[in-house]
Amino acid sequence: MSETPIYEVPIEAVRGRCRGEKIGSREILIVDTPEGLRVYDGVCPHLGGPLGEGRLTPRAVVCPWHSYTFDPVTGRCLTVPGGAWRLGGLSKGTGRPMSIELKPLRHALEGGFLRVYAS
Amino acid sequence: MRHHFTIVKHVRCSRANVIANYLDLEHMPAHSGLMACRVMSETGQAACFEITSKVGPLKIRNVHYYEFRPPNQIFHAVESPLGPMYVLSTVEEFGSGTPDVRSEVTVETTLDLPRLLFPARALVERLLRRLNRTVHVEDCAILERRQRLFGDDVSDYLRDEQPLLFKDRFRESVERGGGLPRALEVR
Repeated sequence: MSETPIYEVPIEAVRGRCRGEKIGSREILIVDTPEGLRVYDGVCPHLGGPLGEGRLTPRAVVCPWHSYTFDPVTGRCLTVPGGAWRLGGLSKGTGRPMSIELKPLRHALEGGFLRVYAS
Repeated sequence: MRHHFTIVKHVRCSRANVIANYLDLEHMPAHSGLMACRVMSETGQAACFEITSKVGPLKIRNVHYYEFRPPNQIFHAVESPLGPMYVLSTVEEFGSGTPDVRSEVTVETTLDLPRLLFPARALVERLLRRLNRTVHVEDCAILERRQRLFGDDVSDYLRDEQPLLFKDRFRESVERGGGLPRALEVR
């Protein structure tokens, strides 16, 4: 028996767009990047912020809680807000991107639809 | 001249989550009207930092003193434009270990108002209560979401890379009182 997707949307509805979706208690991000569609879990890997409510562009996903920025192509953390500590000249908080990544979700483009699966 | 008042707030999350949120200065700019937080000094239990607040068209920079009194108190002093303000927040947890866990935060505020402003203390209190309510509503969105997603687990705040005030003290405190996954409890 084939697996049922948790979310299904016509491809035209996601082309050229970046959006957050809530499916029951799940949150997902769909970002049409210069390298193609990417689908991620919508929970920020930093401290759990709602990424779908942040700033979403083809080149950056910004969490609304702490302004941590992620690369939607690779999922990697790009920047942290600078760190209150770094600005104060203290050593804590390096200001370097954290070693955290967006969690990719399995998805497929089938029959004109984007189908997203649970993991 | 001193004016004292108490605010009691409730939030559906664990004490560890509430304290972590207090110590996480990086989330301050997520609050409406707050920006540019900068830590100037931090020791094991006390810190000094400045935050810029937007009040209408004005940007006001205040220097804050913060002290963590484990396991459940934060003392906060600020030299505000209204005079010195001292705030002691005490967090009590109820329904620990159940899905119905919740915290009560008692905020005792003392204002040292200039003589000229003292007659307007009721108005000042009303403004501060309103500001406190706004911040509380914004914090509840964070705290209740975290409780729903991660339960009592605050280990993400304790990552090496995560800047958090008084991280070692907080770690000791949650190791005693819960808030870390079992694997991290024995060190």
